[in-house]
Amino acid sequence: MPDPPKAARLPLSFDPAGLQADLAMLGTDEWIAHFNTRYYAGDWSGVALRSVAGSNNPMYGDASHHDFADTQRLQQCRHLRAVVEAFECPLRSVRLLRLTADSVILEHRDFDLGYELGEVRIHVPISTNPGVEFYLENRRIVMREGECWYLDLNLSHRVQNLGSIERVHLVIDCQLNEWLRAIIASGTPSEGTESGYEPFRRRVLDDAGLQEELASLTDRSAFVARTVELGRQNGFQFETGDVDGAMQAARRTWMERWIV
Amino acid sequence: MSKTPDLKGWLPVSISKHTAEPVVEWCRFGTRRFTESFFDHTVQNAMREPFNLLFRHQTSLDTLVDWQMKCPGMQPSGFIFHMSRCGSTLVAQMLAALPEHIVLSEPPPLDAILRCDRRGASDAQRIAWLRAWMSAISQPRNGEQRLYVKLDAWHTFDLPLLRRAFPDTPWIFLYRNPIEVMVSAMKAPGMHLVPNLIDINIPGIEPAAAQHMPQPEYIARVLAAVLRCALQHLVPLGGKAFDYLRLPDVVFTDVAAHFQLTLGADQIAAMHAKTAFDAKTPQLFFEPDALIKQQQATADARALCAELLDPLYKQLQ
Repeated sequence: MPDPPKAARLPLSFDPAGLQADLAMLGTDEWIAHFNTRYYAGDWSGVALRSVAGSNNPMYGDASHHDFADTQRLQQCRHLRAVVEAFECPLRSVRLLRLTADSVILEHRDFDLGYELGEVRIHVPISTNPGVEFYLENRRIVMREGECWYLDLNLSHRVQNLGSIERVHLVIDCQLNEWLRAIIASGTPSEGTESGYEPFRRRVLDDAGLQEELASLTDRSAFVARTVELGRQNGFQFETGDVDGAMQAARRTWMERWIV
Repeated sequence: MSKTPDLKGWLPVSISKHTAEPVVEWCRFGTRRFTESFFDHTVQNAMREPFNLLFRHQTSLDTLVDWQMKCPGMQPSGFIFHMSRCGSTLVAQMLAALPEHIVLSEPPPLDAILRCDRRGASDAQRIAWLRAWMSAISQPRNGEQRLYVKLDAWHTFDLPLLRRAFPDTPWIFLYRNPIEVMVSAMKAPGMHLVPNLIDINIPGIEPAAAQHMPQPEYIARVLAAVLRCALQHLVPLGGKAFDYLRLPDVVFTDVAAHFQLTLGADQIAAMHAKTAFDAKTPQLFFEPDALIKQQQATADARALCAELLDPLYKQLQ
């Protein structure tokens, strides 16, 4: 069997308008913030549609649980329910995840997910915008409303919403079975496109002049702004969020360098 | 990790231990000196700068050897071995008071190279990497002329290899009344005084037995192993041992002489100024604590000292 792709658009699509109508029924107080503030900045929150029985916390997908049940909310949202029912495989948690404008999910890996582990995550964008940048192993993957995506989130990934409206995805955790394997195999793999940040970072490491200038900036925001500017001048396109995200990730890696 | 980058102005500040292959992290250090009490404190301060977080070269250990050939640095002018909690940080701080000195205090990359024996690296390989790392880290950036290294206490066990790598470098061993060291170590044990925290073999202690040993006994046995090792190598490998009791004055006399260091009045004054402060917490003034430590010693610690450490201490004296 060939290796599963890192990302693939699946041959399933849904009407975004219907899904957005379901979304509009939700009250603002239904969104529960993600518990791990270490992984994001801004507002990253969710609504449970299928969760561990008795728990409505959508952000806590405990891998040890097996007793998942649809929530009342899912019963009331017929378009969302239709998407969920299209999946002919055992389902674990199903959630709406919202990343508001100007919010960032820092680079991380979801170690409980993996094709080899038999647990995979499917994304269906319901509401998004061109300013949303999702990176999987530093390559940007563009997912449009109503599409259906398989992503290997065991690999490092991050998201920044640089647009002016929120990004809401329906996120479905599935157990692999023959049906899902076949759907993933028949999907359209996406290699994504590289953000200009990493190539620019490599360029700086080769250019003493750029090093000299950037190393002289000790103020963080001045440094970030100048990095983006010098990137543009040298033909590399990226945003302050790329630099901020990379800095966060670098700080964490540095602090954890002695941990096995 | 492909071609060797231009590493002028970059220092190999970290070498990974837990990756499949050791990765050398190079940081652009500018004119920053290693003046903090420990090497890694200086590196941590450098790493607060945004540039250093984002822009580091990562290479293999062999790149160190390539770079040494292209751009050789200094040979160390002195090594400071010690039993821990005995004034070694003070001596390092005194030497670092002079701008013509580069002083590396317990640099973790050196330990990482020594511990490549765990990966099956031969002595010859480790020696080549040690020399190459020393050459790269000691590139003068402010006209420095001499390099001193204070090692970790457990590197006393690595003395023969370090002597083979740097046969011309004079070395000293610092020690202190064991009961005072015991009291200090029992309050806050160094990494080598906690069983199996770091991956080293302590001569004479079985790792399995270490797990079940009461803490004071383990500390005493490790300290004894360090003292025994220093005693064993002192004469054959040409070292000089100095008691804490003779600090700081002995630095200006016998230590300076052994390190072939001629000091002028200004230099002595600058070094002496350091002795007013606590070497590990320079924001605090130095407080003599030998008496307090002796009074704080438990009967258990005293008995262990009398049995395991005092005879070695007397021999060193």
